Amino acid sequence: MSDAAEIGGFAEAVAAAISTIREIDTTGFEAAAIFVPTPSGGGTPKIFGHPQERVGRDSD
Amino acid sequence: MSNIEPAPAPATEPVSTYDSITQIAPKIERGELSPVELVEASLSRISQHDSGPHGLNAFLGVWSDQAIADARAAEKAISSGGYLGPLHGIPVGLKDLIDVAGRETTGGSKVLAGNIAKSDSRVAKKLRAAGAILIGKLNLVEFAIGTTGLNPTTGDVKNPWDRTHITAGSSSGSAAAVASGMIPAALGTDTGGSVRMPASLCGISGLKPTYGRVSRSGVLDLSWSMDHIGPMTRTTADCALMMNVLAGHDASDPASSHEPVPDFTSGFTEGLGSLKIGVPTDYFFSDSVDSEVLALVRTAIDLMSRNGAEIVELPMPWAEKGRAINLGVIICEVVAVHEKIISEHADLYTPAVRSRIQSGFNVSAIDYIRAQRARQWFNHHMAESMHQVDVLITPTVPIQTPTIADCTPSPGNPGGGLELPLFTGVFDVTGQPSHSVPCGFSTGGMPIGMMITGHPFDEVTVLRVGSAYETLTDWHQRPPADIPDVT
Repeated sequence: MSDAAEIGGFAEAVAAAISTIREIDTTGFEAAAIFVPTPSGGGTPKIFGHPQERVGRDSD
Repeated sequence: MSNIEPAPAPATEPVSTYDSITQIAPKIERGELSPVELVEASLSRISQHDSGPHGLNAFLGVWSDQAIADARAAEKAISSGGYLGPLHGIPVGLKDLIDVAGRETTGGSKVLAGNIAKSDSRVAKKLRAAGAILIGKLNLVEFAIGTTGLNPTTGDVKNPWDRTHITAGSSSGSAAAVASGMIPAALGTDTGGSVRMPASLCGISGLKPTYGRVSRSGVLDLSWSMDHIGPMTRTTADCALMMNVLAGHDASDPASSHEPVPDFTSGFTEGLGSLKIGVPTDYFFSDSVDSEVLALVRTAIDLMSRNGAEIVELPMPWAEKGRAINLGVIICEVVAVHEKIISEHADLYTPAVRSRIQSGFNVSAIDYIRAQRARQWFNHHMAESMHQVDVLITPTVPIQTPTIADCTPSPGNPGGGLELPLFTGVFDVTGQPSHSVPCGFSTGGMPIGMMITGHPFDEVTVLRVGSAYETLTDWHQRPPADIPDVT
């Protein structure tokens, strides 16, 4: 089947979700997140798919 | 199922493949049960029930030789007085989003074929340190982007209770493997309900811990602000034993909590007395929920009331916004995670998952911020309601288990199952601990689950309620009819 047909169901759910979110009165809840610097040593953010760790196929 | 080494002959000693860790561990500690026999029994079970046209298709890879070698080492250590605790010698499977050193992490996708992890994820490392035997990787929805458990790339996972039905997902293989007695425990991940939904539909226990309680380090992202890793087991007590190993701060996960880690079994002797159980008066118990699901969950609540719990009815009209917020955040973060790779390798994604990701391309940054603000709004309301109770009890999913055919997309039909996460997704938004336990069966013989949700970082009370309920019922002890015990 085509992606467009598939998008029909899920994309509608996403659009409905965004519409619902827009209707919520979030007055007073504006600060969704505040960046706070932290000391070093907290680890390195993970890279999706770990491309730097690809060493070959699973041989098991 | 693929990448499976030949299984050894069945164990010479009878091992009940439906025994819980709580039942198995004392036998291993006393030397009455060999970890080698236990692992061989699991491998035999996997060989018998997972492959072929009628197989469950729960595993993507089984590490027979290494598992037996690890079991022999465990047996030797235990016989020398080196027993490490309840997971020592217990075979555990991992959803294939979770790195194990030297093993492929594919996310159930062609996109990551050949992606060998250089090191263990934090959870794999913790399981190894506790003496668990890592036995293989478990099937899932491609990149965990979906709720039915179907995956055209790796093959659909079948529900052990009726193989024409879905397991739900995305931790589909984890649920099927535990529910069929192949292994006593597995790890899943939960962003919209992917531990609890398949636990519910397959008749097992599944815990989504508090966000930040279990490290996500070495686990592929779906939606980083809502991703949780949790145990899937036969009983609530086993979830607690797993949590005793898995929980704790990890500096390599930016969201990892510094909260003290309790003994997650510590509430088990207290029963239900003095606990206030909140029962929402709307949304989770609305007329749109399947009537059999409602009846079974209400019966469970009545039982807990008769055994000492105080029932508090809670209006929660705002709860109906929860899944929308959950999906609104997920879709933005999943696009951010996949944007670069899908632009380069779109053809390697299955059409369904590719289209789900693409459906987020037109969601704006301001909508993402709106979703995060709505999340704060939602959490405020949830905290006010939770202030009145110790836990909430709700159905885990609002519908009965659909068939695989019902959920398979076809021209003009996007496929069913979109209702599955309506309840579970609420608690990924709030990050509260949330646990599914079996509470009965439909007239069609499929398991129905009940969800117990507690205050942030109070998994002890959630597990206490689940354990107390399991002492009053035997739903969790019933195996699927056509997958009998070997003893």
